[in-house]
Amino acid sequence: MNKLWKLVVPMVSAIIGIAAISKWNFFAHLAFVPENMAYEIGITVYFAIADTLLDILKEGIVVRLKNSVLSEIGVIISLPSTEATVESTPIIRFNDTGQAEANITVKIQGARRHFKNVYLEIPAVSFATVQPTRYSSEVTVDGSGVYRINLEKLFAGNDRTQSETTFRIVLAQETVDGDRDVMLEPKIVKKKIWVCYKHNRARLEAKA
Amino acid sequence: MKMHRIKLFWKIGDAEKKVYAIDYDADQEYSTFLHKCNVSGYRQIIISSEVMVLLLKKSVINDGFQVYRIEFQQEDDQLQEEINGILDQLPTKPLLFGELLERLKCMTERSSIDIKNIYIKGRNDNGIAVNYYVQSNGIIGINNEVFENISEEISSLVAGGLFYE
Repeated sequence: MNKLWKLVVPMVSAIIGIAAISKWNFFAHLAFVPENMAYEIGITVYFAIADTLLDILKEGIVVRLKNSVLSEIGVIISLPSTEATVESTPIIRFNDTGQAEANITVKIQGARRHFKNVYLEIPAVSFATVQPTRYSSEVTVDGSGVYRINLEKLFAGNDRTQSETTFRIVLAQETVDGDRDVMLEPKIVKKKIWVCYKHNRARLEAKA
Repeated sequence: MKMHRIKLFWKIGDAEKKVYAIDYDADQEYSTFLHKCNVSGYRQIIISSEVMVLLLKKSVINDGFQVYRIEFQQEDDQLQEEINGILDQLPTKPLLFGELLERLKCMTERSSIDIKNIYIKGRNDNGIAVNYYVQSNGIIGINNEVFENISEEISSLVAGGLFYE
């Protein structure tokens, strides 16, 4: 798209520049500009102006398209009271009583229709049980232990949102006969192609 | 006073979450008990600090019981002393319960598993002594005389706190 734009812009700006200068050349009206150079100076400046106007137009179109056609969602798993990014991989460890906790931060920017019946899932882990810290209407843990956030509910009935929500989870370690670890990777189920999804992962470790 | 111990679980395959209270004999090795429950499809329930606060509110405000001990995961002498100080004064200054709740709520903002155990005692409407403790790992000990009622109440409060509104 960008390459196509780069090809088209010089042609369009040349057409606009020539069309504009044939109607009215500002530089032809300046006394200090030699008559034989007025056209050359004018066409150079008009090209540049047309170029800039097209760039501004492009930015406007991209922002509008992005806002109406695309949605973005970012999911970050982090340890309580710590910062994490999409590049980081926090390590979640169980305490002496076999419990652990983590935060799941969901940032959404976009349209609700893009998230209809779309869920964020933390798949079930064989050696641990995940649960919310308190009831939340957006969260369920299904009969097989999959932790699920209903993303449409984060819009609270609005057509669009730009929001950040943190869900707190706790994990209970089930019995293990050796050290175990697994990568927790938040997945979006039924993700639409116009939803841009970025996320990190977290490593869950259990000691026997 | 003999205590009846249970541990709370939910069960794999349940379409609607239900809390199961399974008898736990303290003489039994904990990991063996957990393994047996796991094999039978039960999954542990953690009683988060947020739910512990709900339990405290219900026990003290609704039932008129007394909270006489709270233990934390992190060893913090200063915090423990501060909480003990409030708990010691509670019988004569019940308004301090609000301060206790505020303190605990602040803690839950940092961690959801910091409240390890709570201990409650009192008398029910029939004048029968009530004594129980709740651990964050879902183990609950209740004196035999009131076991049925109290275990049902706690299970239903935990279910509400975690799975329903």
